[in-house]
Amino acid sequence: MPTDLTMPKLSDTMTEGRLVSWKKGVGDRVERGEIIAEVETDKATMELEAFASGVLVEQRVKTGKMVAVGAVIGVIGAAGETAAAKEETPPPAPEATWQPPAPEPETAAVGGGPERVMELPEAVEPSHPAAIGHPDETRASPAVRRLAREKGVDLHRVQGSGPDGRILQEDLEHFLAGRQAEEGEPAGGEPVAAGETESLTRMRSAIARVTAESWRTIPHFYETIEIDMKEAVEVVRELKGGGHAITFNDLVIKGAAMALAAFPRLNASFAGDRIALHDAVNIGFAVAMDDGLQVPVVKGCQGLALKEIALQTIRLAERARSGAITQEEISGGTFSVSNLGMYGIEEFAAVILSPQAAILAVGAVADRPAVRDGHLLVAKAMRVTLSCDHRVVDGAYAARFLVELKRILENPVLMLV
Amino acid sequence: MKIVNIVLIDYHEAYSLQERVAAEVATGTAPETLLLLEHPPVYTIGRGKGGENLLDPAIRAVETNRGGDVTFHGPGQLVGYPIINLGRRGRDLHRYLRFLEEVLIHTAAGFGVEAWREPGRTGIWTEQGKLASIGVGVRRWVTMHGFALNVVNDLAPFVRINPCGIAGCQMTSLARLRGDDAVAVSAVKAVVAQRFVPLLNALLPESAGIPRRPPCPSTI
Repeated sequence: MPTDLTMPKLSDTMTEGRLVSWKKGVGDRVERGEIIAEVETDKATMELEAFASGVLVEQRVKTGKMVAVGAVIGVIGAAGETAAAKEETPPPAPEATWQPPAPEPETAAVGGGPERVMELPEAVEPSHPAAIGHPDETRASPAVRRLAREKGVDLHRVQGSGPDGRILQEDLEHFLAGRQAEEGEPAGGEPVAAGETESLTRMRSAIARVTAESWRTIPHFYETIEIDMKEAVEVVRELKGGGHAITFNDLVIKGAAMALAAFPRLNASFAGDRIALHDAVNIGFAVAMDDGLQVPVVKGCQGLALKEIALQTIRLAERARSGAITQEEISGGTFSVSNLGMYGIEEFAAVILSPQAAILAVGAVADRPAVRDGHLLVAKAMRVTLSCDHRVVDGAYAARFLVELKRILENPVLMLV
Repeated sequence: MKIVNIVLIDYHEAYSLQERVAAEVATGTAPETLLLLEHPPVYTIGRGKGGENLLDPAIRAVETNRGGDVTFHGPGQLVGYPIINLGRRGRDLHRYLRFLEEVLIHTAAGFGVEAWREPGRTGIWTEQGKLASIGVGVRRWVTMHGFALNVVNDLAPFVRINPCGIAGCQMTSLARLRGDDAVAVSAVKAVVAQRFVPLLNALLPESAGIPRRPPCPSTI
C-alpha cells in the first residue's frame, strides 16, 4: 500500500513550505523514522521522517520548490513497486465521479451514455485510449491530470521535467503560459492588463488567507446605527486639555466593552455544535500599515478604565507599526473594531475575524443635519456598522446591542464612572 | 535547562556537539541546553539557497543544515545554539523563531539599543540595519543552530556577501550602535542567559499534550 509523503504543517501560521533537499533517491530503501527529505518554513528547516518503511517510488516535488501544506511531495511504496504501478491504482472517488466540463466529441458521440463512461477509469483520458495500455506514456498526478482536463490540455504535448519525465504541475503551467502567449488572450477570459506582478508579502498572504477563510465560512449580516457624538466630542476635548490623549476609537472600545457585558453572545465564537461564550472581553483594533494591517488586542477590557484602554491602544499601535509586536499581543481577541473615521469614511462594513462573532466598523464623526424636538440642527454624528456571524446571533439581538452602544456613547459620563 | 558557556569553538566541532546534545535531548537523557559561544571566522551556507552570494576566498565556507541563506560568524559575535525540545513546547516553528527574536530584542534593550522585528524578515533590526541573524534546523522537533548577534565583530566580511539573501541588507553591531567598542561578548552572554529561560517558559510553555492554538489569527 503506497503511503503519501506530504508537506507537514510546522506552525499554526505556516501555509506553505519549501522542499530544500531530498535525502533519498527514487528507488532507495526507506526505513520508518529515517530522514527522507528536508523542508523549510521561514528561517527554519525541518528534517522529514518517513512514517512508513518501503521504497521511495516517487519524488513529486523538485528541490527548491515551494508547495502548500498538505501537498503530496513524494510516495513511499512497497519494495518492487514503481511509480508507474501506482498510476494503475484506481483514481480516488472524487476523480472517478468528476465530470469534464467539455467532453471529448468522439466519446460523447460513440458512447451515447456519458454517465456510464464517467464510471470507467479509462474516462480519465478518453480521447487517448493508448494511454490505458501504457500508463507510462503520460505520467502525472491526479491533480495535474484534472488541471489538464480543466484547461483542455492534451498531456502528450507537455514535456515533463519530473523524475522519469513525469509531468509536474509547473510543467503544465509552463505549457499553458506558452499556449497563452501563442494564442493571445485566454479564450473567454478577461484580458489581462499589462503591468507588474508583485509577489505576496507574508503579511499580505496571511491577510488573504484569514479573510478568505472568514468570508467563506461565516454568514455575515450587517446593521448600521447613527450615534450623536456631541457629548463624546466634549469629553474627548476636555480629557485632552487635562493631558489625557483619548481618541474616539478608545471611546468606542470602552463603549463596546460595556455593551458586550450586557450582550455576551457577541463576545463569543461559533464552535461547530455549540457557541463558546468568552469571559474576557479582549478587543482587537485594526492598525493600518504600509503593506497591510495588524489587529493588536487590548486584553481584559471589561476591567479597564477608559484611560487604561487609551494607554494600551497607543502602546500597541506603536509596537504594531514598528514591527515589534509579539504573537501574544495580536492573539486572543474576542471582538474587533476597525475605524476608518480618520479618512473621512462615513460608513463601511468589515470582514469578521474568525473565530470572533462580530466586528464593529466605525466611520467619521461628521456634521450632519438632524431633527431634535422638531428643530433642524447640525449634529456631530458617527455611523457604526456591526458585522455579525448569523450562526451565533440574529438581527434583533445585534440591534439591541447597537442601541445599548448608542446609549453609552451618547452619555459618555457612563464610561467615566 | 542547562546553559553552557564556550569561549571559542570551531564550527564543525560545535556542530558535532549540537548533534550529540540534540540526540540526548530528543531521548530525554539530557536537559534542554543553550550553547553560548564564538566561532573563528567562517561563512556558513544555509538551506535557503545561496550560490549568487559572493564569498571572501580568504575565509572558509561550510554548508550546513539550518534554514536561511549565507552568513558570517567570527570573533566578537555572540552565537547561541539552543537545543530545545519543541515536541513538548507546542510544535510551532514560527513561534520558536519569534521567541528567539524576543530574546534578542530584550538583550539589545539591556544594552540600551532599540531593536525590532521586520515582518517577513526573520532576525532583529535597528535603525542602522540588521543586528542579529536567525537560522534554525529541527530534527524530531529538537532544535539546532539558532542566532548570531553582532557585538564587537568586524562587519567587513558581511560586505562580501548578501547576508540573509536580502539585497542591500546592512549589518550592524551593538558596538557600532552604542558607539562603544568596550562592550564585551561575555557581558552580552550574561544578559542572554538571564533572559532566555523566563521568555522560553512564557512564550513556549511546556505542555502536557495537545498544542495550544491561539484563539485568533496571527496576523491581520
